[in-house]
Amino acid sequence: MSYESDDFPYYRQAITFFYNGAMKGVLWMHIVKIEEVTKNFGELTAVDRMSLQIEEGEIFGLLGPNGAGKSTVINMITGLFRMDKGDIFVLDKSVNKDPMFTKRNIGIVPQDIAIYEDLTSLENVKFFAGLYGLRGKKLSAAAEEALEFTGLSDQAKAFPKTFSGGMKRRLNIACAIAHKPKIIIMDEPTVGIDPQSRNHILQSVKKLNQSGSTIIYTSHYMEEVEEICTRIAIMDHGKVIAQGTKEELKALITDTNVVWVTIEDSVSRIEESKIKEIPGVIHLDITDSTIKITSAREVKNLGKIIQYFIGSGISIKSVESKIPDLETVFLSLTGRRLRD
Amino acid sequence: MNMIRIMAKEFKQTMRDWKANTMMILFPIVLIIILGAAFSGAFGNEIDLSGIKVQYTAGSSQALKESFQAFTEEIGRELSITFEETADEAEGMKNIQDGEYSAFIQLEGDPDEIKIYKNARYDFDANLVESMLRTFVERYDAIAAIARSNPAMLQEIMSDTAMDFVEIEALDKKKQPGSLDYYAVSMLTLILMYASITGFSGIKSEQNGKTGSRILCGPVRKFEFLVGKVVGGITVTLVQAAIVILFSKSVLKANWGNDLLTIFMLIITEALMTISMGAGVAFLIKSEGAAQAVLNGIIPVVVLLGGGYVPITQMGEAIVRISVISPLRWLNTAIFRIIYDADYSLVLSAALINLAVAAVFIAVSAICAKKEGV
Repeated sequence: MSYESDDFPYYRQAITFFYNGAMKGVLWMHIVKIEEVTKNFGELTAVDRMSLQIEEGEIFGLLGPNGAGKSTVINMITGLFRMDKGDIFVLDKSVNKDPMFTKRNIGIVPQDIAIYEDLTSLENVKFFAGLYGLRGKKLSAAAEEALEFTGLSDQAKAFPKTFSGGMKRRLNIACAIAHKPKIIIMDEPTVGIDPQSRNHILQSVKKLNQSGSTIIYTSHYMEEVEEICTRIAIMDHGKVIAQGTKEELKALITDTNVVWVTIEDSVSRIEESKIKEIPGVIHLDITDSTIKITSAREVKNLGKIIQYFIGSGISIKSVESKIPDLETVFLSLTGRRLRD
Repeated sequence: MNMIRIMAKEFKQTMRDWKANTMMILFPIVLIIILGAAFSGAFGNEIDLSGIKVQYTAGSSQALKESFQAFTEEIGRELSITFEETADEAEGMKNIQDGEYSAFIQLEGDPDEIKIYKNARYDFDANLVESMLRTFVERYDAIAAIARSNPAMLQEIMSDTAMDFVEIEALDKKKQPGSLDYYAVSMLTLILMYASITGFSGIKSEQNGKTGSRILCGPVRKFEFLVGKVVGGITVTLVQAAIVILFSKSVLKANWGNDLLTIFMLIITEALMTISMGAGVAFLIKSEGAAQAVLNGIIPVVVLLGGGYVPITQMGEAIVRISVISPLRWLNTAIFRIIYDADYSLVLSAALINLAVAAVFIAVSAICAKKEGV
């Protein structure tokens, strides 16, 4: 994908650089900056004084359960909802003051499949891309490229009513990327599809990011977010309750890893001092035939622990390692599961 | 530009909806044919007067003869009834018996002694002639009385050639629609009321399919979206209307008069009204079923009061009075007056009523869209 920077005359630092071998661009303070934003729906506060910064080139994950306020934030970034308080800056321009500027630079993949069943795939993509000012041959080429990217080029003349859920999701993405937006917002793009299509979409997200787009990815599937996002904000009840890289988030709840080793021999053969000598091991707890070994999280010592048992001639029945995932982080921070 | 893209998309989508097109094009054509045939007897102009032939003999009174000839010229002009003079009374009587003439009139010196002979085969024709003859006699008597009492006025009265022997508007077939002509107009304006469903589903499908929100996430203003949708719907509706008009005019030979342009301009205002009404209802009423029920409840009433099913004059005085609230009554009347009387006095009123209703619903749509999004 290539980009044109002529549409973005506003910049803080005139540092010109080549992006993706083709793009002449500028460096933004933050590609998206959310400042103390509040959105109420009657009595319900959907987003509560939320602040967040997203940097250029990130795959930024917005993680949270249904009703956390993710989609409301997205709708405010795209100018679909007015915010009651605060402001959002996209490419350093206020969404409140100049929503059209924001809209021109964003591609949205909505949570619901928003395509026309009575238009062909190509007509769908051309229609939505055309709204961003593409015309004629440029429009046709961009639409075909988007269909190619999403693996639908052989379905260009087919009507989506004959498509599987996964194909419709891919077309949903094609309609958002054909105009080559600087920021792509994907709101739960993998809901209700088969693993193969999900995998295809996740790979597409990575490719789009590699080709220069900043991605804002919302999901309540923590494994997806964990797999593709470079930075994550966890939302609950309209607030960001934690943000950072995966490691930073996990470090919020624990700085240790735990390994349970169950042996077939008698635990009397275990030499505790030898295990404690293994780098990173902090604590040892022996119960019946199971040894619980707690290590510092930053030290990768599982190989050495197993090596000790084999070297000592102790037969291992099973090894279980528990590293906290984002689900655990969320559970720990909010007291409930993501999919509750 | 985005407005045109949305309009073009709307046009393409609706033209692909064969069910909607079938309803909007075939339905009125079928109804025109069926109702045109079923109610052919209920429309006055089905009586053909052009074949009526009357023979007469002039009596000894020159004044009576001149007056009678003035009368026959007037009747001949208005109703295409042919009057022929004969000096042979026996021949006149024979022609009546043979059925070659509908009536034979004998003028004597005194108008009270005018005799009319009728052939039972042409009972209606002869009765019509008789009734007009009575009017003539009454008029002649009045003139004769004036001549006796005030001869100075006689010349003035006699020079008045526009003697109303017949109620032209009631009987002149050239100025009354036949059933087919009537239903060609009324079925078109009726079916255009159902174009509100096009406007309604145009908005509802964007709401339900979330495509409306997706469009508005792009660099598209809400008014561009709304206008694009409404104009797209109107364009489709006008194509459908044009097909119905052309078919009824060229194949069914319905009378659309000589000024289709003005009629089509009125049709445009109706299309704008109905599409806007559909869009407004889609924004106002969240439940799709309830919204459709409202439209399907309002439309038949508007159509009934507009004379869409039968002419309102046949529905009683009360209905005629209430009918002023129906925009379709103004529209249909305006169209009929253009076709049959070249009378444009109602064009502006009908157009303004349609545009006012459209403006109300567009405003409602704009306010709702501003508040809620699409």
